[in-house]
Amino acid sequence: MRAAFSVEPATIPKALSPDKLFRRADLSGLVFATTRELPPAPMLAGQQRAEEAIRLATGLAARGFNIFATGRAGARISSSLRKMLETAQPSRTPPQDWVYVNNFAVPHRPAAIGLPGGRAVPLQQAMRKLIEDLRVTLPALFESDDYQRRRTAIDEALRANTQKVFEALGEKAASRGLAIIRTPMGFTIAAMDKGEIVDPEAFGKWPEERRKVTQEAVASIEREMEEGLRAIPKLEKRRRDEVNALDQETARYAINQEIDDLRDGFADLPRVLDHIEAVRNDVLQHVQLFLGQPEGGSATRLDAMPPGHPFERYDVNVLVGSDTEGRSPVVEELNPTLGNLLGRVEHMSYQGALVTNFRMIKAGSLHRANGGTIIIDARSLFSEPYAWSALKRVLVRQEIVIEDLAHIVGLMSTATLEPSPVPLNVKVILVGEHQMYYLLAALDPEFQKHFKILADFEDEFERSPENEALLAQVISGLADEAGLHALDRSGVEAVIEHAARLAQDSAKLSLLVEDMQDLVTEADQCARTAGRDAIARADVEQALRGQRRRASRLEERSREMILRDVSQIATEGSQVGQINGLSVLSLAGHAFGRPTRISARVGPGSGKIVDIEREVELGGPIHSKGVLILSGFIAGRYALDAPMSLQASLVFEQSYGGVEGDSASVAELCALLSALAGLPLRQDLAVTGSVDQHGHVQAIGGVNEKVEGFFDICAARGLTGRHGVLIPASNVQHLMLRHDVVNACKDGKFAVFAVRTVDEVIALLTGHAAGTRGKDGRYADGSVNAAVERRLMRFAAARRAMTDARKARKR
Amino acid sequence: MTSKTSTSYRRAVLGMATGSVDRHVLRGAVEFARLLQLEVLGVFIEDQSLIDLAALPFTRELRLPGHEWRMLEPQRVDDELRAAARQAALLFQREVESQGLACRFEVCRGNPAALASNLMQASDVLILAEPAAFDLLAPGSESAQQAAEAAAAAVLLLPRSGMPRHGPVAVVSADPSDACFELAARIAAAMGEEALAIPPVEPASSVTLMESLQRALGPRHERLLVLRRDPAMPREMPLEVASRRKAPVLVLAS
Repeated sequence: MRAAFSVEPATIPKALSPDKLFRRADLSGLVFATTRELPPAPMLAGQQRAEEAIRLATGLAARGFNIFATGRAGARISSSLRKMLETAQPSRTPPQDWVYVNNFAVPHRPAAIGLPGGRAVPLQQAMRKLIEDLRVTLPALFESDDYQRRRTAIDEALRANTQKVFEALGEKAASRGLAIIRTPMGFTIAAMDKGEIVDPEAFGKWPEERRKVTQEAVASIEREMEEGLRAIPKLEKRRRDEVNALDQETARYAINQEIDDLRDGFADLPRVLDHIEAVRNDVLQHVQLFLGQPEGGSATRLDAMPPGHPFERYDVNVLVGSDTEGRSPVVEELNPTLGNLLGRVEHMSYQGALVTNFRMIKAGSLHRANGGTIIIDARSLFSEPYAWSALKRVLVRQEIVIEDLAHIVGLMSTATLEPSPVPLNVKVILVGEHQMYYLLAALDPEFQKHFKILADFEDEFERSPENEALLAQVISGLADEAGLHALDRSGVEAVIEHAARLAQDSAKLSLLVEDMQDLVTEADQCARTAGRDAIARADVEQALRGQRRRASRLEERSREMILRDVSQIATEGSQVGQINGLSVLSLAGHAFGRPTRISARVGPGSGKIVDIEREVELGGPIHSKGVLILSGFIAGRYALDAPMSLQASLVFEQSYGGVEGDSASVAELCALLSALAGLPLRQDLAVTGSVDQHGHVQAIGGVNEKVEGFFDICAARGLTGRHGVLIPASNVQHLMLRHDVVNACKDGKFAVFAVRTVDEVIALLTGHAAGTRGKDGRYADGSVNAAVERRLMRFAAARRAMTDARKARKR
Repeated sequence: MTSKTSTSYRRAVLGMATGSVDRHVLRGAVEFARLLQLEVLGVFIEDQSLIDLAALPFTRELRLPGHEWRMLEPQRVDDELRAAARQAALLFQREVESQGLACRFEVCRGNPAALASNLMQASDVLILAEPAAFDLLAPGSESAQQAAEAAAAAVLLLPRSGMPRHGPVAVVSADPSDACFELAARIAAAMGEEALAIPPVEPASSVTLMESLQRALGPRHERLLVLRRDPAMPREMPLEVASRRKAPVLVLAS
């Protein structure tokens, strides 16, 4: 018979060996001195799943096979995608150039013309040269004697005709004693006598008959004058028509010669030829535009025309001119506003009005990406009004229609353009977080119609020697791209080990290159300060210490509160119903662990465990769930033949913020069992882990920070060799502890225990075996379980007695 | 009479009646006045006989540009004459005064012929524009031209449009001692052009003169033609030449 409350050594877990606390990088398979000697990493290293998805989608021309790439922010998805796609060989139709030209028939609907890549700018140049040539050729032609002779003949003919009509009229009026007189507003007819206008007085003295004859003559001449004047506009119109015909005839020869030369360069492009024909007709109809050259000095060039200038109509607006040497364009839109995506029609203030024309149509990123791929940050897209719905419309219509936000929201009523749509041939890649993808899939019924391919980027990958070597190449690329020193072997190992720490898993490596880039950049600075040519482990570790130091103000304040006994955390001795739990605080990317005193009080009652955190609404639902599981554990393990008659309360002492998660449920259970059994718990140990109803300890998160958080308090107070932390056995694989913690363990000053059951935990904390039921169904005397069950039975008996007494009183 | 002797011109007189001048003509006048450093006198004559005529009950007016007939009412005619005078003054101010030339603008009411006759002096250059189409129906510049001739003043005839910006100053005279050579040379120097003598034509007509100019100038156009009034010259010849050659013609007193 063993002594009461003795511990059976086999039930007590041993401290983990130092090699379990930290896994060093193994680059033995990689021969190099510095990263300069390493080959570049393959594109999308460690992202096979995402890479397969992207290759599938980019190879498919079918509608809707756009990509939603998900992953965490630090994975640099967009830049990785861009690099991968930029280096990819073209697999689809080569990208086209696009231009907007004036639609001479419907000027407010400029025409979009697609050309083979590289032909837009030559077209623009050729058109500008045509106009500049015509502006020299045509005036010279129209100043020639031949033209002037014919033009003068037309003008003279009009003048002669007019003169003939008017002279005849004047003579007729004179013959009847009248004259036609100019008034401020027109003409009148006056009776004349001896070359003078007859005034009313003299007229009144005329005989009646003469007055009558004169009035009849005036009426007659009035009619003829009216007819004569009406003929003038017709004569003038005839003159204009004749001049126009002469101008066209004169201009046609020069224009045809120039335009035929232009056509030769674009004979393979029917739409361009159509436009050139439209230009030919328009120039012929508006020859006069070319004749009003400013005196002295050259005329304004076509590319520098102010808005509203008549020659603008002949210009070519190059919307997209390819410069990708035949490769599919890859465009990353960082600011996906409606205008930046679809393009916009700009306006210019001109003489107090907002004016525009086809030259002020600006390409959007979808135009620039046409024939290739556009990468858009989903969060930015959704924060821009109308951008998402506009993108979906574009994908439905398969053409880019420029939409004006100001018109959509009714802010502007200025007349604008309706440019003809540009056919869309773009692979769209949205980049966003996982949650955004799932939300879109759940809430937007059209989403999966347009984004059929999910490219799911991993945050981490398996930590194998091969993958460590792969990550070494990635790290090499990061340093190289940023122009940093190369890393030596030790430096690379330190970064890889940090990648495992970032993954919170000694068997995984983080793929969040952004964090690694930051670390390497800071380590480079440390190396330069130290005068080293290559970044070494010491530099990386110094950079890590610096990162921690910069973010540790709150961590230090928290630790200081404990060390000054403001926050009461005991790290020696034993206490009944009191235990050190561990929690993790994560603020702005910096996470640190801190111990929390958890206490339990028990008494007879109705079988309820009061979670004080929950009662005051400081506990979250997962924490409450953990506490309720404790009831299940106690009810299932103890007092099987009697109702639970326990009233217990659990509290996180000096906790004034919210408590969430169930990682303290093992600690809470131990505090409860200690209170029930009356057995003190060691205060030099801290516990983390969740527990199920059968007493199995389950994994928790933030194990490294939790161990280090308790270690820092103990180390500050002085390590005794009895300090340690109990962690779930399933979390051992996640351990990537700081070197000082590992060294303390190595020296036997600190310990980390891996536990699988609550029985192991309670044995470690009390020094007593948990105990198992014997054949008689009772726990062995001296065991923790026996003490707990006895106490619970006492509570049950007390409750029964109270119930019986109440019943007796009622009777 | 100054007959072929040098005249010192001091004033450019510009009749500003409705329809007689426009911005183009005014600019031509300003350029000429600047070359010879002349004072510009703008004159608007309100024809009193027109107001009197309006008193006749049957007198109607065909109003432009709508071609509508309205009774001619004295008060309205008076108002419209004053408004036209204000408008002419405004145009004169904008196109002449703003150029920094010595200038004056006068509004007179009375008989146009009598007023013109009183106004014109031998040292004046009367500036007349080629009549617009409607002016052919009721030429209003004849009395002014007659007054200028009577006063031995010079007349500058300006085409309505297309005045050349470059070209020689052509002068027509058979007499080498004619002062018009000196005047033409002075103008040409001020313009930065050459002066070119053109022999007189027989018979004097616009056709023969233009052929002579064509022969002398070839593809060029004169920037100004200077000639002296001659009894043998058809009265309409200078205006026809100005109109067809699209170049000003300065007619000096005989």
